Amino acid sequence: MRFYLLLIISFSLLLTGCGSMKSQPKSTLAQIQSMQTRQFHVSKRKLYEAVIQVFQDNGFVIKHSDYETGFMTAKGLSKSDDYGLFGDIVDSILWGSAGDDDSVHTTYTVCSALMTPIHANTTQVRINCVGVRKTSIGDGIGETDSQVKSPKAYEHLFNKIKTKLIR
Amino acid sequence: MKHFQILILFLLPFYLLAGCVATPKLSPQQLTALQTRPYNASKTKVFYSTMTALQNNHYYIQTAHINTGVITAKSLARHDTDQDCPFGDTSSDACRTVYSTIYKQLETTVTRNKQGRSQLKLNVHHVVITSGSGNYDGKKTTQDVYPEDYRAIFDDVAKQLEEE
Repeated sequence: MRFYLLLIISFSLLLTGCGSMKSQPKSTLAQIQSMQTRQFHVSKRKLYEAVIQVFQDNGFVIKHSDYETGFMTAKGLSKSDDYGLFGDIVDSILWGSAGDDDSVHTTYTVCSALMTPIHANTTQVRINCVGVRKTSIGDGIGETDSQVKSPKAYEHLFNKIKTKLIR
Repeated sequence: MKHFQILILFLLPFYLLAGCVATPKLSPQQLTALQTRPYNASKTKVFYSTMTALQNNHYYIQTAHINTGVITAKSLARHDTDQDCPFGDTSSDACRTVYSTIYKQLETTVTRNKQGRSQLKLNVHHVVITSGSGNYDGKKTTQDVYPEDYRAIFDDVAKQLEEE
């Protein structure tokens, strides 16, 4: 009897170890996908141009753009005293206040946008932003990336796109 | 009987943990099989499903070209610090801090295979960039194969295609 009890405990303990390797729950993934995605009643061309302009207006530099694929990437301004609105939003969400050690942090945001036509005059855009934080301490440097999961940051960009499309 | 029970209890952890460990070195054919999966969908559909699957799996897409079918992506980087001490003596003043940035670099290609099906090939590299005082600056890229890296994306692509 004791043998079988030990056997069950061994199984449970070992499977707990394997279980901890699993990724995030699916509901979170669906929520992230939903907050990153919007549909606009315009052509792919119009939306593509509006997204480029919104990135540029917010201090981003377009790093890669391919209209046929409907995909672009953009890099935000690196942190300085004058960081710009979008950078401040993302910075306060991801990293909080400035560090209290001897390390120096450089932070910036990189975003990608994928536009896919749904109907003749409806296009979907998914924007995905990642906050990058480079830390230098003495002679060492390290990078930590964190996905932007706050609706506030994406809402800001989508509102700007909407305004741009109305004009 | 008692010896048999002890033997089972001793062997059981090794048996179960074998499933948690990365697979040993694969032959080129085994590697190709692991990195490639065919789908019954158009190249365009597989291409866009791959983009969605990569984002769902916390990869940041760097480039994407529908004509060539090539997508490059990078996983979220994490930052580690470690102490390098002579003879493992952590109390030594000669200890140096080594900083590492760790991430995965991924390249995918979507092509049509001989049977007219779309074929997705993934190639994942594990990158470690180290820095610190002394001779620690360096970039190490390895192609250690973790089947889970590939399986998670292939399965998500299949899921995206089903949902369409």
